[in-house]
Amino acid sequence: MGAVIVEAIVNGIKIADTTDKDGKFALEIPAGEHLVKMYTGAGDRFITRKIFTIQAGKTTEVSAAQSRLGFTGKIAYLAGDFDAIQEIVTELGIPVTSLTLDDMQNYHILNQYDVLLLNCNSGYDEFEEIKPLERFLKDGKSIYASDFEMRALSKQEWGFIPENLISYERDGIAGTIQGQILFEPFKKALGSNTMTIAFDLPGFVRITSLNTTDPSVKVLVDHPQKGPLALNIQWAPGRVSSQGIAYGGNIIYTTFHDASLSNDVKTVLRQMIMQL
Amino acid sequence: MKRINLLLGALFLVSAISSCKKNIQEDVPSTGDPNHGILKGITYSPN
Repeated sequence: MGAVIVEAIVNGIKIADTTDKDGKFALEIPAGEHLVKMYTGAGDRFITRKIFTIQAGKTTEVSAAQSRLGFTGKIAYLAGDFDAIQEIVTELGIPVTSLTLDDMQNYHILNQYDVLLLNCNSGYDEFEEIKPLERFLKDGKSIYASDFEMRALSKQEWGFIPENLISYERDGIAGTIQGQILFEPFKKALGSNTMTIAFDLPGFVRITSLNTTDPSVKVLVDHPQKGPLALNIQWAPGRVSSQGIAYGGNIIYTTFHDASLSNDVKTVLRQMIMQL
Repeated sequence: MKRINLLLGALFLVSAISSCKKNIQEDVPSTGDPNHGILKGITYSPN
């Protein structure tokens, strides 16, 4: 599992390594007993903590059982016509629950989950009441959405994110392109600065305007002509963590999805889930 | 012929050792502190 942070705090100093595309890591630590954390993203959902005894001048090999990431939280998805991101979640060994369009309008149901996955063309935008999604994010939870599901996010159609922050057209041209990866964990997971993306159908969402000066917006994968292909928005940071850090919901959006699943796209989507 | 074989063998050995050293240096930027040890492994997804 690539792009996992392996970290030990020794005498108040952080010693860390990030796994390569094959999941390998190595830390040099002073001899003694140390708590080691292995995690992705902010460490909220995918994390394992173990104590290891390090001997001076020796190498301690970590077994597979000790370095398997744990998962805490609940994931739900809304089915769509063009992709099935929940299958990648299942491959990671994480249970995922299917929600109906009616469930999506009921915050008491939504609130039972920590991560919501919106597959392309789910039909969610047929509902005019979109407040549950924004409330879900304000509660510090995470959403992944692909392609047409931008409609549920941007105010341009049904969503809640102002158009001056993001606007788009559904005029993407089919074909295979090389996306430029800007997000380090994606680079680490792939072992490359670029990824091959096959857009199998025309008409996918093309981000035409994105306010990248807004600190809540981060482009994860870009293309010089086609614009941002994957992005992260930290939404509504109205809460404060115990460390005094303001936080809100985490949105990851990709114009591409798993309809045409190249190895690169699968690896990046898997890593994207690990960041939610 | 024997001398050439010996020379080639020695060259191979030197090259193998330096390549091995290089790998170790790349994997773990060692501080050289004799009181330190290495923790190494491979991480896996939850399944």
